[in-house]
Amino acid sequence: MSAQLQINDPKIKPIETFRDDFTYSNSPEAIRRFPFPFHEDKYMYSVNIEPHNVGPAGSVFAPAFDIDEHYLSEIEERRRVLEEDPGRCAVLPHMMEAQWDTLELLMTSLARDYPQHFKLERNGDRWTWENRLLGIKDTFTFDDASTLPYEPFEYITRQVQGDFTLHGQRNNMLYMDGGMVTCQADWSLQFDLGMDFYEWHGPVPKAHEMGIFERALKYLLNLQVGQPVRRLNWTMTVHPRMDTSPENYHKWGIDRSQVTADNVGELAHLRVELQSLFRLPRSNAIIFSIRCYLISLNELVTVPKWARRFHRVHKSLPPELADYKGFSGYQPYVIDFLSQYDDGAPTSPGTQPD
Amino acid sequence: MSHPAHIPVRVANVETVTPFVKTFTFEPRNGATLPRFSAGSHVVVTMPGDERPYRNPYSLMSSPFELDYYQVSVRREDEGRGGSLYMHERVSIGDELDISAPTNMFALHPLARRHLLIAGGIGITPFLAQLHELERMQADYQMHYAFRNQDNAAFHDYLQDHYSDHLHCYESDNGVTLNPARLLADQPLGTHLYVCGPKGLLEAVTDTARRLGWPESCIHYEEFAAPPVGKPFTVELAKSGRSLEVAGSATVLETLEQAGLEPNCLCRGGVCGECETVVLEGDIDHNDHFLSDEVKASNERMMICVSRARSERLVLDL
Amino acid sequence: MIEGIKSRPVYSDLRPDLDGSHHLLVAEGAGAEALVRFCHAWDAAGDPDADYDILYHPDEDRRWIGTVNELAREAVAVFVNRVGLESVLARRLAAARMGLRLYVAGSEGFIWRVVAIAREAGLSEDAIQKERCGTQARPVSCVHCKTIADDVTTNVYQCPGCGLHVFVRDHFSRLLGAYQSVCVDAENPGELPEIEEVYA
Repeated sequence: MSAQLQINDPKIKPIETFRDDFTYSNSPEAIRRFPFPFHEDKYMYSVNIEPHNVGPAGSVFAPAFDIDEHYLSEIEERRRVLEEDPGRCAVLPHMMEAQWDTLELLMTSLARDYPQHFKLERNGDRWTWENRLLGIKDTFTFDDASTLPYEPFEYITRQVQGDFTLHGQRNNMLYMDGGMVTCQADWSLQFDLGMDFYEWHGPVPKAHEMGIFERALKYLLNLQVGQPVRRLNWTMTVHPRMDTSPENYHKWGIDRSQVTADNVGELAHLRVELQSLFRLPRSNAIIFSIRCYLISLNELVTVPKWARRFHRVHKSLPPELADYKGFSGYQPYVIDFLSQYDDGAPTSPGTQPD
Repeated sequence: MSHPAHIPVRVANVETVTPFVKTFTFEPRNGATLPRFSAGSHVVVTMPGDERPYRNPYSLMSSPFELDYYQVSVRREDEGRGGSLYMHERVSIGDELDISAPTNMFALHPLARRHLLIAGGIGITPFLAQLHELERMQADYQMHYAFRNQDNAAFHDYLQDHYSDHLHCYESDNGVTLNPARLLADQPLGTHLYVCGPKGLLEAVTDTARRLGWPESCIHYEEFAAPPVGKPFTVELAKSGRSLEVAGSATVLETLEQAGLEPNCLCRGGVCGECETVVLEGDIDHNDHFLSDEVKASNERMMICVSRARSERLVLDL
Repeated sequence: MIEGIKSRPVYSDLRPDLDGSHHLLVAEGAGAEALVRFCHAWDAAGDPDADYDILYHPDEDRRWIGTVNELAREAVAVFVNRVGLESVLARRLAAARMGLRLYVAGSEGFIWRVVAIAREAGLSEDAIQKERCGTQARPVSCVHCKTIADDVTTNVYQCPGCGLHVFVRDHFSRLLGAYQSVCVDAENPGELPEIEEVYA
């Protein structure tokens, strides 16, 4: 009953790009395991939190932290973003304990779920970490940051796909006390650092009135060690661009005006975030993993059920939401494009391809 | 997450610390190590009682860096509902119990410049774990420990041996009492206060702090409400139409669990808020530390782990 | 633009908080108005045993100096520059005890500078009252180059750091003590909205 049988054994692609020439694409296998987020043929807002680290064999939900064919590409993209703007990784000084917690959680999870790629040996405080995909083998002393080339949080999150934020818990509140954020959907870690839960969600429309954040906060304050939870979020991105940060908005904002009826299938991407939350045991902090998946409309319509459903979701989407998510300008092209693939036939329950 | 994972443990040691207090050492039964935890955490211990299981929260007092065992200390409460008596009289070395994963409702504040810890009697237990952490952090801290006499001064010698530079003891039978006003009036900015112990001490200290102008964000306390014994009453579950009798020594939560239901819950001490339940009819006798006075007065919500009914029946939105 | 952003700070009139055991008032420029109101309220309701101190920097607005000096002679220190005020404030806070209440009045830039000094000294924010007086000008941090512009009065300004035209949002960072600004013409380069004095 070894856990790894449940886990995807990804064939890692050579490095592709998320900028300039945009060579990123999904293999047919990657398309089939894409976390398509819509359960119904219309848009429904829900917080939909469920237990994480459980899911069908090979799915993105089965491992604690999903490693897929884009591993090398995303690690390289992260390196390039940090090279240009080192501030994308920042942790407040009181979070050192949570940094080590993160390192331990990520190393033990990856070594358990992907033993072919990652290996962790622990001899008391002397740990040896081997990442065969990146050719890394380092021996260090747990709890002694001077024995690592970076601080522990940056060291390990430079080796894992997806953004991470660290949240200290005090006075019945969660704070944005750190993060590694290089593939974010339009929010700035450097600006939001130190904010409380309500402040960093400040710009999200409507949800405050609905009491959603009060309930979500209470839920998260009681999150248990060893019982991670997850939810999916989505938006649209032009080009397979990981770094849609506000920091670089002046560089990528122009993309939105370049979508046409002819190129929408290639340029417009569904961007899904698999967001998972883990309580960290020693620091009592929470780590929030935001794992980003991108799929072009051309790739998405290779699954007929998704093409039909995504068309219907777009048609029923409230306009203010399309505005907030930033795709209202080119949404008519998206709907026109998808309508070619929607024959009106019913779709089967669930999100899986037929 | 509303049903905390259970960790199977074996009782590796039982030690009588004072005439009223025993310390229990738990080892993992499956051979692995125990989860790391943060200082101030508690676990809920499940004991297989004769009529129903007892489930009591106890602070972890062992070092957070020790993953081979956990330790808790239990004060014998002869007037209680039976959990502490069960631990004292029925649990011995080799016994197998289940505990929950550690949960922290009483963490050290990471931005504090100084930590002022005040314990009364058995309230010393969460501080034992925190002292390990404070030493490791080389933090500025003081441990103030008030007790009646040596029979009620659990771990006094241990504290004296390990933390004498930081320890201040107050033995009331010797006429030495803690004066909260004197202690709290002259503390530097950035001091955080932590109190655990009997209700009287807890209220005296926190009231004094507020009177002296300590900001609420710097005042921390842990007071698990032991569910009081009361008169029996009936709970009706509006959604399922079921009706259950709550015995004088049982809680609503336990009664629901006995009936095979799995209501959300976590700390079982009226602290965490997880078991908050909407009440449709009946008068609530609140015993928790979670709901605001305003919500309590509305008579619309209750924490079913500790609160009871004043009326003969309660109708819950379950 | 999204209304009601929760990170936008809320300011309110300074009022004696008699739960405090020591009281320190810090003001700049038009913040003197708040000092005057505070002192009257104190005289009306104050605890005769308690006392307060005032640190005041007139800035360019010198018409309040006389009024401030008359408030409570011994308790007032008036500074010729902000740096002087800041260093005395830091020294006072280093010697302060739990129970201190800090009251700040002035522009947003001044308020958050004082809050940063207080945070550095270990004072928690629930012991601080803040009242914005005089100018509505905002300290703003450019999200692209991180340059903080001190007194922005318009909806859109040209960032002195990177030269982009940026729009001032209501999103506010207490740690930076600044609002956020974001490129206004990223999707249509060169198309600027009308620039208006909205934070005069």
